[in-house]
Amino acid sequence: MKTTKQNIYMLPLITLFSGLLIAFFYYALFHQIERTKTQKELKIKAAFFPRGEYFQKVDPFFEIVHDKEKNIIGYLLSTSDHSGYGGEVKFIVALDPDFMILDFQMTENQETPGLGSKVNDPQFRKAFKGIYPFPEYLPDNKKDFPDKLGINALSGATVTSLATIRALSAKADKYVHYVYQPMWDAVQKAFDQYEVENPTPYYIKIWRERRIQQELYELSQGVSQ
Amino acid sequence: MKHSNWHEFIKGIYRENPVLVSLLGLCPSLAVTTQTINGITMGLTTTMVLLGSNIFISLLKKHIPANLRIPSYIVVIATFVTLIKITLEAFSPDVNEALGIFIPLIVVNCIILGRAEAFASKNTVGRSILDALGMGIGFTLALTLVALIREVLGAGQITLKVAGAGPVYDLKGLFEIFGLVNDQGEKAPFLIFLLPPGAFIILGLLMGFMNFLQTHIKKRILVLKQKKLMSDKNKPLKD
Repeated sequence: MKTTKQNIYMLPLITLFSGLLIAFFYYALFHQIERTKTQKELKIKAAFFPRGEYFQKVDPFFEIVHDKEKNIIGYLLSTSDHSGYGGEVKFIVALDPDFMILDFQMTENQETPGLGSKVNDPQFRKAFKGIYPFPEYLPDNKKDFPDKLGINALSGATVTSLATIRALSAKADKYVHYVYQPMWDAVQKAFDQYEVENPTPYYIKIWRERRIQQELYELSQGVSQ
Repeated sequence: MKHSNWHEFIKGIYRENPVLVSLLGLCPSLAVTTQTINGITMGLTTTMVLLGSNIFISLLKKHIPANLRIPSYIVVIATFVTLIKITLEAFSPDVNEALGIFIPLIVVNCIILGRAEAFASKNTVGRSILDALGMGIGFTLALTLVALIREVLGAGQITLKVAGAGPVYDLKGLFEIFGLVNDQGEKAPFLIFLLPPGAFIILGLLMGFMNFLQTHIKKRILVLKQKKLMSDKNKPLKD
């Protein structure tokens, strides 16, 4: 009877205690984990843009980097690919004001230690500098690496190299229109000045606003497809 | 037969080394040993899990039913692995990133379950701690040795950098002495030693060397024992 009781309650008791211990640990260290993640990201951003003062977050995946004088000095793109050797690989990509790759860093991965993680080697990353992050400019397969980048894919980490390529070109087209942001800002400023000098009738203003919103919506739908 | 405490500690390092003698934990031994620092950190992480699980299982040995011991041990081991992973995520993200998927795989490392079943469940907490430390240090030394040889031959360097601190020794000079340079004058290491086949080769050679060493030492001990017996035989009897 005692053995049966022991059989029944011992394993659930151990499991319950283990769960509580893990929960307590996670609760105690949760903020430290978040702080470490944020510090790591900030370190990477500071390394990419030493002159960067303001990071304007457009959405969770895209930031515009400004210097002290609020001039745009580059962009930060958070991207990922699900087909790494061990699963998902996540990157932060630094782009210059012309939307060419400045540098990138693999931030999360399940790749083989010492092999797939070599994607972060400076020599591999240097080959991507000055390349546009679009599929036409990046290699399709292992054989294209020497032609398009001037290097071979990583020995022993071909799958990770190709996942890197797919990740770099995954989201760039959604945000490339931000390259024209300074131009649009200047156009808007000139337009506002014109409006002050030549006011538009109210009903035409409403129609114009509605039309602009419609065009922007159709444009964003077309680009994301 | 109960051995001394010192024997329980030292056996894991040499006589019953988990990797080179018992052939346990070969998956991480082959997979993470592409850099010296990876071998050291993997060994230390496994040692901490081994220590924690041995203590816990030894404390509960009288209360865990025999027919439920395996799932109970696995739950305990998985708990410690999770705690270690959370700690590494919080305080040492570089090590966490470097070891990656192989930290969760410590749960199914044969060394830990094997020692829990074979030793911790049958001995006191003190002896279980010594056993865990001995096995853990033996595992760490084996991994470090494999990683060191693989990295020297396969990458021509020794990496001891962790969390952004620590040296990376470039062995270009050594490669130049042996003439292992390419047309551009750069060192030409043997990439195969960074890949799985090279890992098997190095591990196999080390196992063979360990086997040779143990056989040789056993023979020497036998010869010395025989000599002592002969000299004792020839001694005059005391009145």
